[in-house]
Amino acid sequence: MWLLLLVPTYLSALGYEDLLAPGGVIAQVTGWHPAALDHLLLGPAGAVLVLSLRGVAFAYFAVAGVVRSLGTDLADAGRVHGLPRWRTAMVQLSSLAPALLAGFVLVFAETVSDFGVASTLAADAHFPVITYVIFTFADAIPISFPAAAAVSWSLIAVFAAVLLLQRRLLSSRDFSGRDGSAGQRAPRRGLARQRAAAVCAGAFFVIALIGPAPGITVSSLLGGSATSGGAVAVSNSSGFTLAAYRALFSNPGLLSPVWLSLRLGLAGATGAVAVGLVINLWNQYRGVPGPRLWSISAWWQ
Amino acid sequence: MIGLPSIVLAAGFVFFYDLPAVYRVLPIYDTQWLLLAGYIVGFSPIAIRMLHGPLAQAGRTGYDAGRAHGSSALRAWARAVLSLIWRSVVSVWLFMVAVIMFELPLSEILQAPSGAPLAVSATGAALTVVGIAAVIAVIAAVSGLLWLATALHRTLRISREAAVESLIAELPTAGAPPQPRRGPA
Repeated sequence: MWLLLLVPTYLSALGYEDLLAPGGVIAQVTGWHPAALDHLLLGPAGAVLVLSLRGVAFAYFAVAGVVRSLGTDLADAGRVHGLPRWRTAMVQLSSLAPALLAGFVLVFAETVSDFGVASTLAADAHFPVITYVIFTFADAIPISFPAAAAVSWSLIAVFAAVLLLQRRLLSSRDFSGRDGSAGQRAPRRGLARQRAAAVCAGAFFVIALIGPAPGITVSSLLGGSATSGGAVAVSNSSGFTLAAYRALFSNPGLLSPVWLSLRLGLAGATGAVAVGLVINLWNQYRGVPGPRLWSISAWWQ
Repeated sequence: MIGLPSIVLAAGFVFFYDLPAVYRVLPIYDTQWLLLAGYIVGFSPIAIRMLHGPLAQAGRTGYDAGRAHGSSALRAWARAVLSLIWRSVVSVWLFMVAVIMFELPLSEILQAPSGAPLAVSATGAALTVVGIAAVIAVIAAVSGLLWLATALHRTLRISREAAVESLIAELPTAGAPPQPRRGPA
């Protein structure tokens, strides 16, 4: 799951594009171009697929702890009272509502503010996404600040509206139905169910992680599609070749983005962790008792 | 702050640091410093969140005990708290390095003319693969150093404990009769 969080959406999108493009990995290796899939990828369906695969990680972290602590108390109570299986499931689901809503808001925020898919799949398919619209205004010459600000505020307003809706839904009902006992482990399911769950999980990770990785790696080795960055043309011969890597390492200037990002990553991470430590320590060691509003981390986070 | 989209944050940075009054005082617009500032501001909230748990768990009783025994604030914190949370700090730092290396929206808007970061210029698959390899190399190198430091620490502790054990073994047992002194021959 952490790997899913670490892989940026634009890399996943580029990986799928490299796999399915007319001159992509599948077309070159098998000689068959999956045109329907490629067409589907370069559109809203592709954007939804890539964003959903990443959203699963956020939803997992929001819900997993609550599901683990849920135990079998509610299911047992439902069975004792003679509820049918679907009603028992609904009772359990309703007790998960706060966690599910939190997961929904988290995934929604990530999806709405995502720029990776907006600048790859959506831009290639020429359908406008709000973050890419902000980018075009902010990157224009001269920069169109009023337009960028207006669209940015609308994005923040959408996010704020969803947060308010979540708060309203949660405050309208009492979800404190827990009895305080430690959650018991659910009884082990049958072998067939375990296998089905393992197959589903395996398929998910193949699509989410292992799919894009060969797309990027293999396309860097294929003669027809390999590029080494900076729009440098490499061998057009068919079959596997290391021409892209040879071009990359023979011209040190092409590797400068890696060194720059490495330096910025090391410095940025050091700065962010230092700020994180200082603010946490400030709150822990010098924080005055009182409303959380006055705590630095309250408004910084 | 975590909910603020990076692209909006980046647009705000451009707007603010491009103002003539700000540029006169702090001329970092169109330099790599602006991008670095964007990364730090954009990722600090996540670092705060991720470090809050370990710091809260470590508490401040150890620090208070250190201070009561006369240690300076920094020394008391380093010995009582940092020794408990340093693994978490390193993990958060590694996570940040990996995420910032491939961060796109801030990099796209705040990149300086002097050089584009990896996320912006990784148009070639080979460059992307080299970038991923660089991140894996950093994580492996830091993890290796951590492992070495832990192994060294464990070895030192074992040898220190063995030295203490041998000292204790040489001490006379309480209540035992004192050894008779040998007189001069």
